[in-house]
Amino acid sequence: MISRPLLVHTWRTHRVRVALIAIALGIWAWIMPVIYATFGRSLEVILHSGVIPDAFLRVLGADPFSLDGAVALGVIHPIAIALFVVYPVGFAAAAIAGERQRGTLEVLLSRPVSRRSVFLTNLVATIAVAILTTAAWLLGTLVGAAAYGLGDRLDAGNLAFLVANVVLLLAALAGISLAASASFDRLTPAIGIGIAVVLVSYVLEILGTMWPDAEFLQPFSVFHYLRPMDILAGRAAPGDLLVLAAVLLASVAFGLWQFPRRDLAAPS
Amino acid sequence: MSAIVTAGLTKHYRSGSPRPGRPAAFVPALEDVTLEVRTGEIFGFLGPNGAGKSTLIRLLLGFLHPTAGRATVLGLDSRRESVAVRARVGYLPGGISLYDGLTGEELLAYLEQLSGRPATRRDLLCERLELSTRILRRPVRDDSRGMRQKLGIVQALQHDPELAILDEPSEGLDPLMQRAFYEILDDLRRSGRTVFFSSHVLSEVERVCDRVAIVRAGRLAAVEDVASLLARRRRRVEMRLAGPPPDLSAVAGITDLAIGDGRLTCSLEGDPRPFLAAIEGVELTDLTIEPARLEEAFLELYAGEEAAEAAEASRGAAGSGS
Repeated sequence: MISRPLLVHTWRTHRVRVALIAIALGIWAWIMPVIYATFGRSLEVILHSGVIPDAFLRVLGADPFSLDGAVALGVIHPIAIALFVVYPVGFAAAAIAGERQRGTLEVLLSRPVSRRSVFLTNLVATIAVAILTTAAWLLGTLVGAAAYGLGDRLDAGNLAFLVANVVLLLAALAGISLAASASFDRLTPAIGIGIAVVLVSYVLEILGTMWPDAEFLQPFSVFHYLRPMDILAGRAAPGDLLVLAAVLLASVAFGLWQFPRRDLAAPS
Repeated sequence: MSAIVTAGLTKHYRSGSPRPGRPAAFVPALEDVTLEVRTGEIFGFLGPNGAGKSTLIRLLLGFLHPTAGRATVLGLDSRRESVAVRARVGYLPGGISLYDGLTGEELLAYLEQLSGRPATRRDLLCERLELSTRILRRPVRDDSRGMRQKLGIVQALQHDPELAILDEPSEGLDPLMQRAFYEILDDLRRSGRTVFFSSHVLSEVERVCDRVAIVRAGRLAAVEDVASLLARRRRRVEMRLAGPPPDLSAVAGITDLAIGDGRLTCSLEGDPRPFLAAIEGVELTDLTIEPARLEEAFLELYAGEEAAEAAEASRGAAGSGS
């Protein structure tokens, strides 16, 4: 079901951009233990002095300037989110709708490649990028912690769970974007849906964290099912993985159902 | 075996989204098309823009799903077995878009891999279409429209498909390259391959096709041999006379006869031999018989269909008024 030539072509086309994102995430992740080791004590004093409202502290996590808190912040900070999701959302949304808009999809589909194969190959490519960029983030974190002699303070099991949780979150977002991509002839609505899901989810999660009356909104956010601080503190919730896996499976099932059924009229 | 068979093939597109109280409207793109393309022939599918040519091609390749009817390509159902169909077909889309970031070489190699069949004809096709190594090594984005069209032709035929489906194949080609392309089609015919191509260039269809189908507003207006279509056409005859005019009034196939100022003009339809026999011994200074053109047949068919539609509409109006 996976088209090897399409997979190789996709990798060749995107490898430089993927490498740049992976390097950026690696550097970002490396900075977090460095900030903790260099400024952690003084920032903790400021944060706990009462100058910053509790609601904002809750957004950062329960203990933002422990090593675990710094690493967790490195995952949920808007910069990290933007770097993590740029490919799972951007590439996945463009994968089918973009080819359709450019008119190259019919050259691809004039070959003996089924639409389901095109969908699944793009899904595999996107998840592979998610794994690669998350691995770069992990490497940056480990190198940063090791550079300041903090490596032994990170629990390998918790980190592995966090990596799996991040990859599954990105895969769920990729599944949603790819399903949107398979449903439209134009890139704009497909990428619009992908970005809207990310932004609305992020806002719901932040809103629920800062404002107790809005907590009921959090379960509707995919980001609610990634709790890095809890995971690194040893309070991982396997149920979160199940929810994200269900979102991924539902979006993939929709894409595999919808794409082959669609009429692909001549590009206008 | 037939290369393509369609039976009552119909495609209606949905127009706009259904809303409460307003059912979805459907626009007919192809209506009840029944057609057979024989193995080994070059079959032209003629019609103006928007007549339904590309819709039929996209139904054959499984890009569109028929509203009614069915089609088989190389004995395979175009809907249920579209992947198997595409493994044996070469396709050139109309106004082809290519991967701009790749070089010509990379593009052809990528599409060869996707085809899963070796590109046995690539070198020959590139040579015929004057696609040099230098041209193939530059990015497709730097190529002119004509170059892209040539790449499109190569990608469609490089793996020597049993059936080539070509949508407006000579678009963007200069006259020399058009001639080279026609020679490629002649080669394909000689090697027993089937070619189905859509066009609105009548001279091209007349030059290369064995049979043509003419489509008008989604319906088949005619399916005929090019030779017999042309044989039935009226040819314009002009004679310059040096003596008395011949009596052509009783000659079969002669109409629009006009004589004056030492000049005779008429229209000649069908077998020319009675006409040639009738002018034997006539003193002439010049004789011109214009060749029959597919264009005239095409326009005549269209005019005939339009007149029939108008008559039907007026009958309908009269019927509803009475």
